[in-house]
Amino acid sequence: MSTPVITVRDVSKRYGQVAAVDDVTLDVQPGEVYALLGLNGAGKTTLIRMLLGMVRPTTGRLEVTGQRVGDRSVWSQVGYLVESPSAYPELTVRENLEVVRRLRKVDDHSCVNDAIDLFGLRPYAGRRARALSLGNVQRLGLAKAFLHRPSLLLLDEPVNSLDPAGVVEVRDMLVDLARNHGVTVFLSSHRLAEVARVATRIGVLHQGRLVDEFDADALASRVRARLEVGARDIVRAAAALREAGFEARDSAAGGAVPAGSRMLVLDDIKALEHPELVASALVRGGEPPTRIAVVEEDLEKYFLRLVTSTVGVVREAPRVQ
Amino acid sequence: MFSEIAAALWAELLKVRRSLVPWVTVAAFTVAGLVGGFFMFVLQDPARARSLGLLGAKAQFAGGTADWAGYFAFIAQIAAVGGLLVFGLVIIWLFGREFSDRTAKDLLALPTARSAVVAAKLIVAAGWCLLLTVQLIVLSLLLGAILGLPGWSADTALRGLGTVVATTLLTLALTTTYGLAASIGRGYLAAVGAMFVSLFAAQVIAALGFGAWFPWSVPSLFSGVAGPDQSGPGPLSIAAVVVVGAAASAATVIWWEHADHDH
Repeated sequence: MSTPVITVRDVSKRYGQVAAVDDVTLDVQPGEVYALLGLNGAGKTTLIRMLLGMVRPTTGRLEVTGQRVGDRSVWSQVGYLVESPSAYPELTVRENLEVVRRLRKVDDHSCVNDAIDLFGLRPYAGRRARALSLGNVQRLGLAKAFLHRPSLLLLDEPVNSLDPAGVVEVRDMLVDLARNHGVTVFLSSHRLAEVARVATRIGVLHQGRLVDEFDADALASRVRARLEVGARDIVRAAAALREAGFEARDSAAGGAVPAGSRMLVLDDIKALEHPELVASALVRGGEPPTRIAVVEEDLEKYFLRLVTSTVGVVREAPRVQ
Repeated sequence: MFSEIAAALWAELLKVRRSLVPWVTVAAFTVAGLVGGFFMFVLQDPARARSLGLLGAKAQFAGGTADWAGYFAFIAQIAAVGGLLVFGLVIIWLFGREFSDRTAKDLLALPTARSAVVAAKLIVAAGWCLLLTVQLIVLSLLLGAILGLPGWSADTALRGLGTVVATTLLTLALTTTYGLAASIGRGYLAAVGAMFVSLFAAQVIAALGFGAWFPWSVPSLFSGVAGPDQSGPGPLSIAAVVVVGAAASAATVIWWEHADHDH
C-alpha cells in the first residue's frame, strides 16, 4: 500500500459543546479524487481548514503528503480553495496571480500565463477582479490554487457559482489532473450527483461524523431501485402477483398519489432482476401490465436517506490496495 | 525569512498602489497642513482672530504664538491626534481588508510564513505614515515660509521637526494595537471602534491630568498639547508606548500564526 497523501486519524474539533468534526478517520491515496459529501454545516469546511492548518483539531492527528499539518514546507505541494473564492478586487486577474506566485515562491514567471490559459481567463487577464462575474472569480480561485502545479488540491465546493459549461470544464480538468498528472484531489460538495461524476472515492460527513465511505464504483449498488408496474385494475394485478410469489405494494397506500398515476411497487431483488417474470405473472392473471419499469433512486434522495437515517457510523470494510 | 518578507512586501505595496486609500490619507494630511497654516495666518493678526470668533479662540488654545516654534508645536499636535486617526485607518485598512475581502484565508497555507505577511503589513504601515509626516512637514515649511513666520533658526527647526518625527513614531507604535484589533475582530468594525474609544479616552484622561499613565495620551503630551509651560511625559511613559507597540506587534504575529482561522 502506498503512503496516503492525506491521513486523518480520530480527528475532532469542538467549539464548546458543539462538535464541528467528530472523531473522523480517513485516508486519501495518491491520484485519488476523494469527495467529501455533506449537507451545509456537516463539518466539511472545518475538516478542510484543519487539513490546511487554519484550524487546530481538538484531538487527533492530521498528515498531508506524509508530514504533520503545521510544517510550512508542506504548502508548496498543496493548492487550495476554501469556501467562496476571493481575490483582491482592485488588482487585475494577472496581478492577483502574480501575488500568489511570489508568496508561493515560484520562480517560473510563465506559470501565471499558464494558469490564465488553463482556466480560460485570457480575455479577463487585464480586468480588475471586482469587475469579474462570479463564475470567473471561481475560475480565478481555481487558477490560484493550481498556479504552482501542486500534487494535492484541497477544494471546498469547487464548482459553486459556475455555470453548467464551467462545471463540466472543472470536472473534466479535475479528472484529467488525477488520471494523467497524478494529482490527488480532495474536494467537498453537497451535491452527490455532481461528485459521483468525478470522484473515485466518496465519504459522507453528517453532523461532524463520517457516516459512510465507499468507492465511487460502489455507488450504483447502494442506490435503491424499485420496479413500478401499471395495470388497469391494480387490486386484481396485486392478487395475480401475490399468487406468483411477488410482494407488491400499492403506490397510493400513502394517499398522496392521484388515482390516474396509481401503480404497484415491487422492491424485492427477484422482481428487479427478472421483470419479465412479473410481466408473465400479470398476463397469466388476466391483468397485462400497462407499464413496467425499473426505477433507480435519485442520487440526492439516496444522500438524504443516508444522512437522515444514519444513527451510528456505518463504514465499509477497509480497502485492500 | 528576508525573501519571504520581501515577497509579502511586494504584494502589500501592489495592493496599496492600486488602492484609493493612500490618496485619501494624503488628502487628509494636506487638509491638516492647510488648517495649521490657516491658524498661523489667523494668529499673526489678533484683530482677524477676534473677528473669527470661535475659530480664533481655538487657534489661541491650540497654537499659542504665530512663530516657527509655535507652528512646529502645532504640527506635532496634528501628528499626535490626527496621526492616531489617519495612521490608525492606514493600519486598520491593511489588516481589516483581508477579512472584508475574504482574502485572509489565501495567506494562511503558503510557503511564505504568516509572520512575514504581518511584518510586511507593519513595515508598509510605518513607511506610509512616515511619508505622510514628511508630506505634512514639507507642506508646513512651505506655508510657514509663505506666511513669513518669525523665529526661524536651525536650532528651532531641528527641535521642532525632531518633536514632530518623534511624535509620529510614538503614534505609530500605538496604532499597531488597531492592527491587532482588526485581526482579532476579523474586519474594520472592531478596530475602528477601538481607535475611537482609545482616542476619546486619551483626551479625557489627559484632561484629568493622568495622561502620562495612559500610553494613548502620551504622543499628545509629547507634542506639547498641554502648553509650553507643562513638562512632557517622562521616560517611563515613553517606554510604556514602546512596550505597547512591541506587544501589539508580537500579539498580532502570534494571533495570525496560532489562532483558529475558522471564518
